[in-house]
Amino acid sequence: MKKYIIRRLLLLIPILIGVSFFAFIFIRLIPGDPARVMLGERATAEEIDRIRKELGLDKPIILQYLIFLGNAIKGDLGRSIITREKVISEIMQRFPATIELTLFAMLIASSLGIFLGVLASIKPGSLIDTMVMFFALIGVSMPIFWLGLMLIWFGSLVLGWFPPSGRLDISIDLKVITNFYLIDSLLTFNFKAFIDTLYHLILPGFALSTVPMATIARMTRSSMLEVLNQEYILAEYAKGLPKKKIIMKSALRNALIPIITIIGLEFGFLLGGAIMTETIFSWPGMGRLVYDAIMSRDYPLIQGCILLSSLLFVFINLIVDILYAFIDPRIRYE
Amino acid sequence: MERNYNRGLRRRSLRKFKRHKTGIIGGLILLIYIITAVFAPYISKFDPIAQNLSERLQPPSWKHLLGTDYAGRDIFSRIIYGTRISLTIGFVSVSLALIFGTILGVTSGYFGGWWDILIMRIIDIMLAFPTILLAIGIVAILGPKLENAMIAVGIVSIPQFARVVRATTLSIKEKDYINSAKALGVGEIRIIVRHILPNVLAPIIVQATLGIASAILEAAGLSFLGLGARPPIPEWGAMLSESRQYLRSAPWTVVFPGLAIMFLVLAFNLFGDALRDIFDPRSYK
Repeated sequence: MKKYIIRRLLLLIPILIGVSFFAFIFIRLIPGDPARVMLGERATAEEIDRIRKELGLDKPIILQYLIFLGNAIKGDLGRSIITREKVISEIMQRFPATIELTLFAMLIASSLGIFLGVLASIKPGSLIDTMVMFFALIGVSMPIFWLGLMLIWFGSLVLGWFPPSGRLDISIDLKVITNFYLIDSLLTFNFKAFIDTLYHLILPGFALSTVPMATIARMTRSSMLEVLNQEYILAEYAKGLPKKKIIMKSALRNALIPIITIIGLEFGFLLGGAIMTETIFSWPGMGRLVYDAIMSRDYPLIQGCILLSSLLFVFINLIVDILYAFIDPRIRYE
Repeated sequence: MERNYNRGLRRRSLRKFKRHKTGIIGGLILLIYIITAVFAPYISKFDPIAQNLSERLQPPSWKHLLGTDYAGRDIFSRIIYGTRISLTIGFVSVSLALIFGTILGVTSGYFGGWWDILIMRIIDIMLAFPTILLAIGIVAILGPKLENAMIAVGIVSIPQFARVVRATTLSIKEKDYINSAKALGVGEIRIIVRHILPNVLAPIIVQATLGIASAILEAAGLSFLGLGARPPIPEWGAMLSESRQYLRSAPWTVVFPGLAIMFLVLAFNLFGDALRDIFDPRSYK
C-alpha cells in the first residue's frame, strides 16, 4: 500500500507542473500586451508599467515561471486588478461557500443516485427500471443553468417555498466563524440560521446534484446487475436468505467499489457546475467569483481560481485513487 | 472477402439498430432537428433578429406559438434558427476534437515510446482541469466569440478521443494481420490508414455522437455566461442569458430555449447509447 501511494504521489509531480504551467502561461497567452488588455484602453503608461512589473512581464519567460511558482507555493497569487485585494484571500473568503454547496449537492446525488440505481437493478426491464433510466438520461441531458432557472421559477416564484438566491436571509444574524454557515449556526446554537441556510441550499444543491445523481444511478445499476449475477449471490438465494438482506448487504457492498470512483470523479464536475449554479443563484462562492472575474477581465483572479480549483480536483482524484486501492487490493499490484 | 464481411457487418448493425427502440426514438428526434435546421427559413414566420418593440413579452398565442422575448422577437423562430447554430457548434467542435484526438491517439498508441509518454502526460494534465473551467480559460484568452467557444469546446474534448483511439490502437497493434503486413514490408503510414483506422472507426463514431451532446451543452453554457454567441444571435444559451431577468414576468422566454437544448442533447445521448450497444462486440449474438 505504501509503495502504491508513493508511486501515485510521484505521478502527481508532472501533472502539478503542467497545471501550474497552464495557469501561468494563461495570462501570457492573451493576444497583445497583457498589461494593456487588463487595464483597458484608458490606462496611463505609468499604470501599465506598474502592472508589467507586478506580473514580472519584463523578465525572461522561464524566470517568470519560476517566480510565479515560488510565489504560488508561498500562497502569493498576486492581486486582483479590480479590488486590489490579494487573490488568495479573495478565493479563501469564497471557498467555504462553494464547498458547502458542493458537499450538499454530493450528499443528495450519492444518496438518491445509489437508491435509484439499486431500485432499478432489482428488476431489470421493469417499469421502475425504465423510469429510473429515463430520468437519468434526462438528468445528463439538461443544461444545469436552465434547470436552475426552472427551479427558481417553480420553487421560488410560483410556489414561494424556497428563497431564489443567496446563502442566508439578511434579516438573520449569524456570527461567522468558519464561513461554513451550517457549521457556524450549529456552533453558535443559532437554529433559525441553520434552518434558513438549509432552505437556501436546497434549490442550488438540487440543481447541481442532477448530473452526478444520474451518473451515479446508472453506475450503481450496472454495477449491481453485474454483482447480482455472481455465483455467491445465487448461493445466498439458495440458502434462503431474505432478498432485502442479500441486496443491501452482500450485493451493494461489493457493487460500491466502482460507484465510489464515480462519486470522486463527479466532484470535478461539481467544481465546474458550481460556476453555473452559483451565477444563477447568486451564491457567493468561488464559481460566482470566477464569473465576476471573467466579466471584469480580472486576469490574476481568473488565474488563481483556475489554479486552485484544478489543484483541488487533482487532490480529490488522488484521494479517490488511494481509497480505491484500499478497498480493492488488486489495484495496488497493477 | 473484406467487402462481403463489411456488408455483413453493416447489415447486422442495421438489423440491430432497428430493434433498438430508444435508439430509434433518438434518431427520429435528431432527424426532426436536422430537417428544422435545413428548412429554417420556410418553417419560421418571423425574422429571428429583427426587433418589434410593440409586441414585446407576449405570451404564447396562435400568432406567436412560443411567445415573444423582451425585444418583441418571435421565440419559435429564434429557436428554429438556433437549431442551425447548435448543430453547427456540435459538429464543428467535435470534428476538431475528433481529428486531433485521432491523430494523437493513433500515433501515440502505434509508435509508443517517448511520443506516447509525452502525449499521455499532456492529456493527463488536460484532464486535471474541470472541463468547463478549462473551456472558460481558453475563451478568456481567445476572446468571447461563438467561433472561439467552438474551438474551446473542441480542445477540451480532445482527451476523450485520444484515449479511446489509443486504447483501441493498442489492442489492434499486436494482431497477427498487422504483424504480417509489417513482415511483408508495408509502410507504417499505410498500416495505420488501411488497417488501424478502419478498426478504430466504431468507437470513434460512438464517442463522437455522445461528444456532440456534451459539446452542445458546454457551448450553450459558455454562451449563457456571455463567453460564446453574443446577442442578437439566436443561440439557445445566449437566449436564456438574455431572458433570465424576465423569469417572473415572462417565464416562456426561459422555458422553451432550455427545452430545445434538452431534447437535442437527449437525442444525441439516446442515439449514441444505441450505437455503443450495437458496435460493442460483446453484444454480438
